[in-house]
Amino acid sequence: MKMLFRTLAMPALLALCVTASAGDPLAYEARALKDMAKLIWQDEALLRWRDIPWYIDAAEGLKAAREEKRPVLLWVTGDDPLGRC
Amino acid sequence: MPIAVNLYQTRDAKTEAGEFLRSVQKQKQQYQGIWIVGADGKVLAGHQEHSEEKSKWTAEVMATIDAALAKAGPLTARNPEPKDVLPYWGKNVQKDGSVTLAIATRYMHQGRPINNGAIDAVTLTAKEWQEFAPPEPAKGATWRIPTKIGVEFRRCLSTVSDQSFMPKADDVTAVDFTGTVTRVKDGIASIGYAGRISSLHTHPFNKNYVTTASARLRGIGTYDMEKKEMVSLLWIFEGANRDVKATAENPLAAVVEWQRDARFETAAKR
Repeated sequence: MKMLFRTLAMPALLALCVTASAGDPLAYEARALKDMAKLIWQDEALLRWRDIPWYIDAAEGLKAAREEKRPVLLWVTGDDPLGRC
Repeated sequence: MPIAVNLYQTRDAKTEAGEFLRSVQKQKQQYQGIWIVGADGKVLAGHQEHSEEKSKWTAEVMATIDAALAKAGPLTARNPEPKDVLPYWGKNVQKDGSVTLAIATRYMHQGRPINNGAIDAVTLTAKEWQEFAPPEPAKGATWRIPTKIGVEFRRCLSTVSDQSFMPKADDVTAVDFTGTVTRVKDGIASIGYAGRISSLHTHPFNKNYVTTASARLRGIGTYDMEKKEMVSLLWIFEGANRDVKATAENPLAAVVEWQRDARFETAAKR
């Protein structure tokens, strides 16, 4: 009897384990897309220039430069410098 | 004081910024790049031309800054508070309901990125953004994103931000994006997106250089059914582009991301 139980129960248990480990296909897809996104995004080191407190309103920046009596570092590109790189 | 401006919007503008730019361009002829300008309006240094070796670019910019500092005289360091210069890039909703989706594109080789690629954005009005949400948040509901909106993701077909290489809206030969509600749970609808976009682009200054590109979309999103608003979006494009005369393709990939409520973090903390 024990032998019979083992013969029947083991495959059933195994099937259950396999099903459980298959998990949530939506979660699996989300994980795969997030991993892909991490791969594609540029290395943080390349995006450090975004931490500079740029003035994108030039009038505001020029006013601040006058008030603090500081030189201006003017960065000009075709299209938006901070929008595309 | 770091200021970043769009050349096309500023160079002819009858504004203080326009006058400032024209003044520095007269002093140091450059189409674009960096000018460092003293408090008296005199250009201290400028930088546009760069070496072929990318590894030298940082040093070149630092040399320009050092040259300007040598002329500027003593300055004390600024310690400005970190600020989010692009508070809506890939996150949050503007007052008028518009959103800006953050984009990055890279060339790929054997599944790994091989160049710095480009970062970009698509800004959608509130009405356009609504097209990404399920018209009926029931499992299985499917809808198509209008072509006029889908065309804007042509940016995902180029890893170069120069508009000479970027497909224009008219260059898109096919675009078909659909959304499907894959699950409804705890008041949140999960959405799956799929589709394809293709383009054919002729370089404006070299008519012999024609590029064909195509990419497949896989994406996910979440929608709050009670608040009737999108919560997140993550799209991945995988495809390739090539010169029409070439047989070898250049595999590329793009990510499009947006999160409703996201806090600003500096790179050091990210």
